[in-house]
Amino acid sequence: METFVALGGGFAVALQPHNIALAFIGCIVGTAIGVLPGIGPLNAIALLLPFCLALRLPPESALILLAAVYYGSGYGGRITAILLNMPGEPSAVLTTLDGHPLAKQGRGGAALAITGIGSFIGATLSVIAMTFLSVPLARVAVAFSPADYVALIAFALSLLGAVGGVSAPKAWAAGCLGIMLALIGIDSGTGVERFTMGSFELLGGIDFTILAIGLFAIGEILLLIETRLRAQAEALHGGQRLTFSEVIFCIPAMLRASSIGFVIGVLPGAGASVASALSYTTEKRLNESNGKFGQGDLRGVAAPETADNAAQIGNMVPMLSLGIPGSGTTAVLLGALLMYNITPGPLLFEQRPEVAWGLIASMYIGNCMLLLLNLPLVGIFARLLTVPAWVLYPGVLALSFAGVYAVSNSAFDLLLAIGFGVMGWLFRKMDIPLVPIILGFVLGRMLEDNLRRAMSLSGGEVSALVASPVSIILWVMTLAAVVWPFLRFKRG
Amino acid sequence: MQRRTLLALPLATPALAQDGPVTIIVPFTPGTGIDILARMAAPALQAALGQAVVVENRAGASGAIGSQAAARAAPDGRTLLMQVNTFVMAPPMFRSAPYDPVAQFTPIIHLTNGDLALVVNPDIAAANLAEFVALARTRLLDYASPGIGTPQHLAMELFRQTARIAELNHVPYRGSAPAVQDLIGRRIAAMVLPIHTALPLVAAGQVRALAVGSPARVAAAPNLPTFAEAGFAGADVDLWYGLLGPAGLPAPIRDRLHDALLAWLRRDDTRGQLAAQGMVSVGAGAADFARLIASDGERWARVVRTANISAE
Repeated sequence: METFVALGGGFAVALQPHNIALAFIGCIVGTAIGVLPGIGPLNAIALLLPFCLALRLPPESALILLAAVYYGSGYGGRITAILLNMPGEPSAVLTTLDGHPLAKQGRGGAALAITGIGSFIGATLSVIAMTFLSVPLARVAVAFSPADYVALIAFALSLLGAVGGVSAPKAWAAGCLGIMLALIGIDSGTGVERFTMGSFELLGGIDFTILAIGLFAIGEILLLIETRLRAQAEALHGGQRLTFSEVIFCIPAMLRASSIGFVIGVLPGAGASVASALSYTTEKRLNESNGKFGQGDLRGVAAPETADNAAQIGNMVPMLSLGIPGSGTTAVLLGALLMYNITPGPLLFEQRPEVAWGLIASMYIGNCMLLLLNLPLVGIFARLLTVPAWVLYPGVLALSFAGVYAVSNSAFDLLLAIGFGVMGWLFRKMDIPLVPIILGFVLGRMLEDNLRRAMSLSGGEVSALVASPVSIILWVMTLAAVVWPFLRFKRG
Repeated sequence: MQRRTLLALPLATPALAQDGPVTIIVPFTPGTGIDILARMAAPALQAALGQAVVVENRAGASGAIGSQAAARAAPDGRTLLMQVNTFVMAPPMFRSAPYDPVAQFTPIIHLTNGDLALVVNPDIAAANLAEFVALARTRLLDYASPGIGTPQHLAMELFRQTARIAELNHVPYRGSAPAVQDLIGRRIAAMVLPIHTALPLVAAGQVRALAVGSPARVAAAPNLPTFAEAGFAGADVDLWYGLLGPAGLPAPIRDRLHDALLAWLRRDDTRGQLAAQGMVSVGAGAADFARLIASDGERWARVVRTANISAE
């Protein structure tokens, strides 16, 4: 009951005309930021922050605006992933697996629509969970130890074979390559320089954005130059629009993805990429008999996008209720709060209810706006493919380079991205899947960091890895996931 | 045709105009304390100079990449560098020093200080620093830091050396957030934290603060002793933030930048904004800042050598 009263107070704040306007602006900026490859919500929020101060926005209004940019970006990443096979955000990498085949079949519009709906469902269910469970959930998240993260990440890695299309060995090899790429740079555990070949620019490791843009955007464009393939403009008109029964068909997948996304998002050490990977593979495994994952299954786009948005909202839980940001972007949001002299933490909800609840209420409103914005725009987005290739691809390439350059304003990064682009082009020709590379890269670094911490904390005692019930369950699931394909193979 | 169009795309736009924008390089990622400081100072500088002032994040290698870029820039006042003590802590840890903090830069102004506090998780049976040291001599305690060679890491190492504790287990993280998570999850015994991060956790009962790193007690936590008061003189440490230019920056340009930023520091609203980031304004001039850089450089090189912290 108390919660409803507090939420009511939050809506009183969020429904003020200027706050609605700010949420709307934030949603539009966020979607745009999400579409552009490489330019993420982190940069956008860091840029908007001084404006909020300069305009003397009250803290709740500033936070409503900045948070809308953040969750709005979750709606944008899918657009280029589906239409151009180029994920606009890291977590949209999984969306390319089924999204692009759908677009090729002329069902790009349907894929955009179902992911728009999925994003809305994931985000809204997450906001509801956040409304009622924020503080207790954050406590649980703190109990999650490095050893538990090791088990969780090992489980996510064990599913690599499922995201590689036809050939599982190729997927595993690609995943291992991703893990190896993640090793480049100063070893965070000992300070040793690894595989930097004396290059100063590689000391900090390879940035995710550079790898993703190189492999996907630049690699795809290189392939298009070679094949002179016309964008699938003709196919666009052939496809059927999203039907109501298809939405219903995807609902169970979306519900599962929402819970996976939210739970993973609440853990500060995981993130939207892990969430979307886990939900995609979950759907694939659950629907092996009736699915056509990898060739354009609507659930294959609905699940990762739903989980992505659910995780983004979940990520705000530890930030608001503990002051621990789970991602770079929530760290900037935390910085914004601090600039306003507001300290997130268990006391935030009592001391500054207008900020905490105003923000939560604005997220209900913002997500409705995003749904209403996104569904009618599906047709316009899909028309992206009718833009002549000589306009579209140079534009995409320019934006990609801008995104790479924005990472650390370094020309070296541009060369690196071109190198990965060539690699992506070659791998496409050899049918080596790219998604496992990305996942191996993200998960490999997390796995190593957490494994080192777990070992350092236990004094090198390996049994610490299975010390908690959570980790034991996760290891059993990991084992099952590794053994499962072999059992199935035998049966077949 | 298409191929030629692609290849002809310009990759970078060279040659800035003579009165082009002033760039403040921040060698860390957006949203960090130093980044926020630069973004707060930039509009004031822009107003005073009548020139656009842009903040450019060039993160990586403990800030060395951005520092190197600034050192290589022309000393015409259009490329500036915002730095924190890591500036003098990092070079001794690389196999070959990426830059010389004294010879390659012109100090402009020491802007602010950030106070640090040593905190422990509530399970650690130590009500004060002396008890903590006694405990650390009986069993190996774990401490966290946001990374190897960060001020928080070296501060703890300096304290260990000062207090003559044989060994503390350093667990480096990538950034503060995961480290704090394990601290309040009571898996990590101790950590040095910026005071504005530490105090809310203290208030919520999630950590216990034992001492502040500054030479004198801080206003935000008047009951916390300094290291010297607790019996460990010489272990004091804080974060300092300042603006530098490339070596050879002409004195008139330097003074103009200094005066503009000093005026900004003295504004009332600035003080409040800084306090929210756990900073107090200092506003020390170029000569004082240069002395601080030189003496701190020697001090941390000694700590790094004694601890044998290095890149290999």
